[in-house]
Amino acid sequence: MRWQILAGVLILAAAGAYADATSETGAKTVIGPRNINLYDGANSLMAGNGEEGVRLTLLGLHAAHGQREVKIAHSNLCAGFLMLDQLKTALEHCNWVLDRDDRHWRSYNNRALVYLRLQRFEESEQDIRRGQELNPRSEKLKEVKGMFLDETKPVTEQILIDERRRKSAPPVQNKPVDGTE
Amino acid sequence: MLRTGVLAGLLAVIVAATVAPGNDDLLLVQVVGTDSRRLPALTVAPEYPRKARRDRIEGEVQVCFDVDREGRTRRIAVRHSTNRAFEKPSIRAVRASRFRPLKKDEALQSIKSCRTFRFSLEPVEK
Repeated sequence: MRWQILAGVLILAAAGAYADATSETGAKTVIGPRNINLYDGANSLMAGNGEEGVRLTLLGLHAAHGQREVKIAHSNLCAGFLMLDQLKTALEHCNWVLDRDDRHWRSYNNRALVYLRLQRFEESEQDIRRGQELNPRSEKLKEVKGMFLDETKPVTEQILIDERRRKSAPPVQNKPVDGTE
Repeated sequence: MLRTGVLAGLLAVIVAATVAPGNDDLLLVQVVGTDSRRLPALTVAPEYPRKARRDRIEGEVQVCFDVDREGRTRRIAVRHSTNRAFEKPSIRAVRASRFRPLKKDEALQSIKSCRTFRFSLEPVEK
């Protein structure tokens, strides 16, 4: 499996670390990242720097404001430890999120990858399915499903080139549907 | 006899599309035959669209085109397609393909050529 593309299919929630001021009309003004370590950690992970990403995200976790930021931190740590090939730790962080929020499709995506690395295919498939139920249009989940299929049901591409003219089909005779003439 | 010759020519010049970087899987290309009046000089096979492969989608596209005196393909159009994902690579492959140029005394015929591309995914034994 081509794990160098792993960073491309892991889901990180950097945007969630922004602070925002919401007016009565619902209009939002983005001020900037509230938890700078969480934000920088997510960016490092997205850039493929697992060690720095995990270090900053752990700092972000300690300074997290509220359950939402804690959840983001654990979800990103799951992705980060997976990048570092520390699968057991990655699984613990994904489980932490999913034990508290069973609708967190991003964590299903990441945990499916962890299970795939652990060759726990049934659980991986289950997480992909659950994630796709929650977010059917997610391209990341489709990528993970592709990786899962490549691992479990590999295929070879075949292209057939046919330049023959098609024989015209025999004329269709109208017959009564009940078979009577 | 003529058809056998044409087919042999086709097989001799078939060019498989470049396999995507990092994709170490084998791409099998097969030409099953031609009724074209013009002899192919270079037949380019389309790339299997990455997303279609990922989503395990198979399909078929028929592309029709003219061939000019120099053997270049012209007025390329999709006549039939089971999935739009396969259309662009098929058109690109036909555009890159070439036929043998006509000799000075040969007349250009205005019959369209059509080429059907069947994209399929075969299971691999692990």
